Amino acid sequence: MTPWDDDTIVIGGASDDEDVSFTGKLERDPGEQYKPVKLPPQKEPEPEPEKIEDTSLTDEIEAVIEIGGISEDQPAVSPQPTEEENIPTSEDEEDSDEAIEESPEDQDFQADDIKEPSEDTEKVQPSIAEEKPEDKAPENEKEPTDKPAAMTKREEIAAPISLKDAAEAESGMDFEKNLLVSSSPHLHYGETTKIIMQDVIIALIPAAIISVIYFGLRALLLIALCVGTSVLSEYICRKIMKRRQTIGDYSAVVTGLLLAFSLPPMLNPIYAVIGSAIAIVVVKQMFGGIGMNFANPAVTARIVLFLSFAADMSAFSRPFFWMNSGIDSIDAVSGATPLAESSMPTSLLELFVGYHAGCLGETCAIALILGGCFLLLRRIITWEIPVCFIGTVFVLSWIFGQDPLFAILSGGVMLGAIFMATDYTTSPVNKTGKIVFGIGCGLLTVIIRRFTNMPEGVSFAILLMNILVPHIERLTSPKPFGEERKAA
Amino acid sequence: MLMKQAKPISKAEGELIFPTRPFKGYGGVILPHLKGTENCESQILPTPKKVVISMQQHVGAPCNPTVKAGDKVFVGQPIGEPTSYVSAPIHSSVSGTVKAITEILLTSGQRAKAVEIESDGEQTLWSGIKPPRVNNMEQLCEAVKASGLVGLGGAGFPAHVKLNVPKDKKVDTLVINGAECEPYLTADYREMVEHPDDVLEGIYLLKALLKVERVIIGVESNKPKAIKILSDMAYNEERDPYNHVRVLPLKAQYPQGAEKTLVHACTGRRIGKGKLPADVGCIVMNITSVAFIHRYITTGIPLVSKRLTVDGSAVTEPKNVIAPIGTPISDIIRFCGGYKAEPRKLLMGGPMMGITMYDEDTPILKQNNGIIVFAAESVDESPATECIRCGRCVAACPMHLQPLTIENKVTKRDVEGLERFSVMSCMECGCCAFVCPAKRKLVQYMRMGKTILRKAGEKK
Repeated sequence: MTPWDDDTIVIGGASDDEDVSFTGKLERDPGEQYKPVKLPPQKEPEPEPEKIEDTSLTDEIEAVIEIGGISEDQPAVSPQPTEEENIPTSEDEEDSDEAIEESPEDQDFQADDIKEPSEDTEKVQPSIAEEKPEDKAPENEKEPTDKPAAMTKREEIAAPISLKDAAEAESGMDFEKNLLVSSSPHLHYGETTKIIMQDVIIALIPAAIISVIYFGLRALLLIALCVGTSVLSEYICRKIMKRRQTIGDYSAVVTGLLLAFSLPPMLNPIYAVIGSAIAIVVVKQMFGGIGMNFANPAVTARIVLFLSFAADMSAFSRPFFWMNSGIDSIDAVSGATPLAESSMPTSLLELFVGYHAGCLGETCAIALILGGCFLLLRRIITWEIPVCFIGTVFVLSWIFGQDPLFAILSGGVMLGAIFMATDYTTSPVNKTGKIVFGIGCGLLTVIIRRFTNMPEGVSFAILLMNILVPHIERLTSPKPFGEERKAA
Repeated sequence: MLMKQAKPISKAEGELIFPTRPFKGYGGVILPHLKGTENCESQILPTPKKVVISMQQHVGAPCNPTVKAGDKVFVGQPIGEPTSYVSAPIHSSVSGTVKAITEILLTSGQRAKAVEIESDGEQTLWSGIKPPRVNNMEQLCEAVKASGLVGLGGAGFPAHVKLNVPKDKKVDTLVINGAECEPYLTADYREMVEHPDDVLEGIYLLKALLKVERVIIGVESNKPKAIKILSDMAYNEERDPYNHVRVLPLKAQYPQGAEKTLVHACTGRRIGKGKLPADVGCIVMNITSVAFIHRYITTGIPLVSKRLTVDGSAVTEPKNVIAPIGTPISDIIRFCGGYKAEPRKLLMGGPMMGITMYDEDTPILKQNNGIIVFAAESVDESPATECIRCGRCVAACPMHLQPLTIENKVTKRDVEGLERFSVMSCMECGCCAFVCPAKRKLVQYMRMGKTILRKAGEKK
């Protein structure tokens, strides 16, 4: 008597007086999955009519098709060593003498002939299969690879539960095993550095378009020059350093764009080229390339240009100057941005839309905010840095008595907070660090604006905070799961 | 500006609360579920011609073979005896003759003995099989040890060690792991759907013997049918009058099924570094293990077969298969119709934590849950590029670590830095490498970091 014959099972023995005694009646046989499953005798399940059509061709015709390459439309190899394939083939063997001369259309008659006995679906035909087991192997080898275009698609049929002869079964297994061994995980999200940079470029497009509308073809020239110089200098630099070429990840394009947006429209193009080259070569590549720079390349290059060519970098143009009377007009070079005392914008709307003098990409807040929302949606940036940066500038300017909205919409705060400060390499990696970084940038911006003669504090603030990032990271590294103290 | 920890929900003296929503943890990634086989009824694999049963099928010391070449063995007959406390006996999964005691190469690079048995197809049960007598915890641990049960969720930790809670630790919660967070795998799900009565009987048994008053069955929300079936069955007035067994739908996120994240999601308690669930008053059992315990108590047949999910872009017919332990993978794949495209990667386990095989005749182990075969189109072989310090790995890590910093320390062989950044807490789930835009092999760096730390620890 096997253990599962008795369906009233008492756990714990029949007569124990401990507190646990289950008397559960089981509706189902618990030993079911341990019962042996034997190889059933080689009986044939009912064949399907389509199968016979598929395999009604003989060896010769199959060989012809194989050589002649007629079977372009053959479906992907689906080697199913099912018994259904074997029946028509082996039946075919009997008729092979007549079938050699016939054309494919005539095969249909033969198919019909063969169909009739098999339409008795209940009957099985063991004799035919067993007569010619040795023919099954070569037939099977050919079948998966030959499917003439005229034939209908083979339906998937669940294989019956039985292991076949080794020769048949191998047809599903006779692939070349070129197995790759690598470390887990074996799936990837699909987002690469290139895709991230592409998204950033897309986010910068509204601001670029607005800048061309406001500042004309000069803007386009500067943007093109900056981007072109960045990419070229990175290419040349990597070639000289004999390192992997990285212009394919578009990070140089982003640096060029951001630098261009920080320049005044009437800047000498040569200065733009110099700035781009410095950004890529000195700030980025000299420190090891992407991911290794200690400061934001565009911000640092802008500071270098400002310190080298202060007057040119402070000469801003009003929007649409190019429409009024061309490049030589008085409006072309007007002086200071709204932050200086002399020229104030007339309304808040003008500030939002950027209808005031300023750098290429800094003026239009709407376009930048649009780009920022796009980046947030695509999860390229997180909310911590822009919100903390802008929020701190807002609050501190208010405390210091200035109009807070004016403070965040003028200067390079929008561009700096959304695009420059959020640069991956030069901002902290963890959440708390990002908040600290954003607040620090805002604090420094307001301090520089309030207490120094500098017209613009954003770029210096970002640079100084970039330098502090390793220390911020060390102090705000996340506490691992389950640990008591914060990792120092 | 520190994140406050969620307070654990059970007080030392108070009553235990059943959460209706899981506790929010760190990190994790949302993966495509790819549960194409979830409606595939489990099919029993026809007995293979030979099985190779490794003597190292669990965490702990390998077993010693107790049979020799030429011996006749039956299903359920012990063929490997444990050599240490953390070890589990191994039983023959087919009836036949022992062909040889060979040596096989394990995935960790070690070599272990293996018993190669040629099966006669009869599957005769061993005469020594009888249902054990289980009335208290000691007897349960003995029984579970004799059954050779290891963690069937993939970890392979001997279950009797887990159930043998030391006297100084008080356990008040039993957490049942029905999460199955890996894509493709549906073996646990089929257990829940096909044999929910086994699951619940096992739970009631454990609950009564462990004397716990709270049993939480955690099931991911991408398995609504299983949640419904288990909830309906668990709401049983006569077996569970105080409703101490409840199902908690978990967020369908990876790695929800990992022990530490599961305990936290169900109870809010955090297991410390190097600690066990028993240290926070919980015991975690996989749902298939629990169902197996019940089957073993009623039939006496030890762990000899396992349900696996066979899936992937190179398998012709993905399905769930119940196979004897030690079956070569090639037999199982042949049963599933063979390959439909040239296989490029053969995985034992799920696609996130599975181990790649180079030989398709590798025998399956007790703790295998799945066989995934990828064709070339599903395999990403692009090289790693430079780290851009984006921080996605930090955001994704369920253990709240900083993988990019650890990678940096590994490159520099900085032991003190590795210690400070807690590389030993890493559970190698793969979330970091999954999201990395530079496709860096972060899990490999974490493993190297652990090796460096261990070596440094040994030197001292």
